[in-house]
Amino acid sequence: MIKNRIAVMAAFTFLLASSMIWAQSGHEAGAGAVKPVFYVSDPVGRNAVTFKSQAPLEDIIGTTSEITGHIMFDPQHPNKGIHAQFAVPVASLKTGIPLRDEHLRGVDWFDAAQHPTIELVVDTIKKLDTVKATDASITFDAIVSGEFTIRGKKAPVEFKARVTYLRETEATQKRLPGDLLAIRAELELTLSDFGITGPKGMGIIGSKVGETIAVGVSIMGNTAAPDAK
Amino acid sequence: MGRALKILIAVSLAVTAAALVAWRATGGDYYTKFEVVEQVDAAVKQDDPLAGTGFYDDATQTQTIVRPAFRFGLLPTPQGALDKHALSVASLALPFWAATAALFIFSRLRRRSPPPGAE
Repeated sequence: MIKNRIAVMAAFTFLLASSMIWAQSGHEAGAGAVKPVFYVSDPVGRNAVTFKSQAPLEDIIGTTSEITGHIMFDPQHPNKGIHAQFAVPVASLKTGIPLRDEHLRGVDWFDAAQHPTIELVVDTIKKLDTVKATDASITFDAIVSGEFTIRGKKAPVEFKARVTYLRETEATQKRLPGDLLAIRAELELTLSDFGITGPKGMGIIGSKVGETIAVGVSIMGNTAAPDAK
Repeated sequence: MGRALKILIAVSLAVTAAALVAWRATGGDYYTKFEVVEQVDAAVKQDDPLAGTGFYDDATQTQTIVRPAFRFGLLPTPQGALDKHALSVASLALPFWAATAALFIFSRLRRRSPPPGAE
């Protein structure tokens, strides 16, 4: 009986110690136990999200530098997976024509009043290849998947991305403090997947706005939290 | 055709021609703009920390920029009555052609009306 009690207490102590060690290692719930965290928030506005619409009557290019978010990814152990979350304010999108930007925010398009941000969550790496590795950097080509949210509607996405991790050096500190993670990616979105049909009866989508929009992303995150910059 | 109408037609043609020349000279855009969003290829700078890491496919990178540039468009895009985006080929030429049409219609109606004392 005493031996049983000792065994139970030993098992309990082992479980308690394991959980404390696991907690102290900084694993974050819901992230599949990946770290470090790279924060995307460049105060100088060097990050860029670009969208292109091609239609018979008109080609439109728009952009914003106001993308924020975070990426939980371990470049040394990429098989641990990824969890990334980004947001772009609809009001920050610029096409060069203020009236058009105003229309984009309207009910017939992105409906910024009800849904002020466009969001992307990336949670799966489907394929990862190392492109180049140096003492201070690693570059991967990846196919990732996740979910895009526009106008409150979610749609799955899968796209290619090139990801470069840079260890902190004097050269990188001129850009941002901490280790850096640069990502560039291109994907296509279909407007109808998000319930975007344009003004009723005007046939704008297909003639002046493409049914699919090409989106390009070029961002850099760093391990220094935004308030530490 | 009356002399006034001929003058007005000539002025309308001149204004339209000038507007179209300005439209072509400033890029031939659909809409009037005072800034443009465009993608340009820029050389990767030597002090770019990403240079040599394999992040870029070659020695150039595509950037999207927003820069001030006037484009006199075919159509206006005003957000209000006094918005500079109201300038366009259509907003400059149409009033002259509207006046031309009005004067033409008026002159035709006056021609159809019997002269005083003819009845």
